[in-house]
Amino acid sequence: MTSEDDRLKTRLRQWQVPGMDPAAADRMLRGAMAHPQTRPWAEALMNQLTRGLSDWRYGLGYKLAAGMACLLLGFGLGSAPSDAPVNVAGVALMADAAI
Amino acid sequence: MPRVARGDALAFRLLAGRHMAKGHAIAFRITHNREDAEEAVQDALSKVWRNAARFDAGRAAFSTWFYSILVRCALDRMRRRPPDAEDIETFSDHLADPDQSSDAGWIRSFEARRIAAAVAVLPEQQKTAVVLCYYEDFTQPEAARIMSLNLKQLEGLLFRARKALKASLSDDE
Repeated sequence: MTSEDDRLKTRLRQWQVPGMDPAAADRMLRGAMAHPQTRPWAEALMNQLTRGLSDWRYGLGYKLAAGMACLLLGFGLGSAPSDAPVNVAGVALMADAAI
Repeated sequence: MPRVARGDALAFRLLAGRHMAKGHAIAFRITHNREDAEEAVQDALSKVWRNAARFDAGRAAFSTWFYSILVRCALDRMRRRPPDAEDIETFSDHLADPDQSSDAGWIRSFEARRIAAAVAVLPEQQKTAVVLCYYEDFTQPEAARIMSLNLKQLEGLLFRARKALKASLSDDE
């Protein structure tokens, strides 16, 4: 910065602004605190979900665990057929009665 | 800040109290209007209070975070109502020298009004750079972080602002 720039800076300082009214400061603080604070956990959860859906490697452990759980549930439902023979005549009678 | 994030009003008052006067001066110099300056400070404080939990001390100092929010709020206010001649006349009341009855006092007041008018017509980025670096004594790296610019860009803004101010303040000397 040249001496000319320094002179300009000194000259600019002649523009003084008024201080803040203490009552206004108190009003502003009260006004600011009247707003509810954001809850960061909801935002963090949304961020993690969004990232989890867009980046396949993010939260891989959870994804694998969820996949395994689905697989086990699927096998559980699929591998427990009823041993009793279907009573076709009985079902037909029930259907007739319903009509 | 962690206490503010937990809703501690006293901690917020203490923290805000350290920066409000400087924040008000910055907002006043950007908006050229007392009402808009107060609104800008209030907007910035509201954002700080609401989003305290999002503040990451590892990324920036609180002051940098607060003043960058404040500058954006002040610029938003200014865009809604750009300073005009009436504003400058109105806020010249606030520049009044207590000793304005004397010639020296009148000259000081007149000079302050000319400087304020010259700063008012600068493009908003240049004006912000001038306010932060020349009036509020932020270092250039600090001002660059507040304005989300790199140092070269800030230096360019200050260079152009100095050129424009020299031209407008020397015109009618």
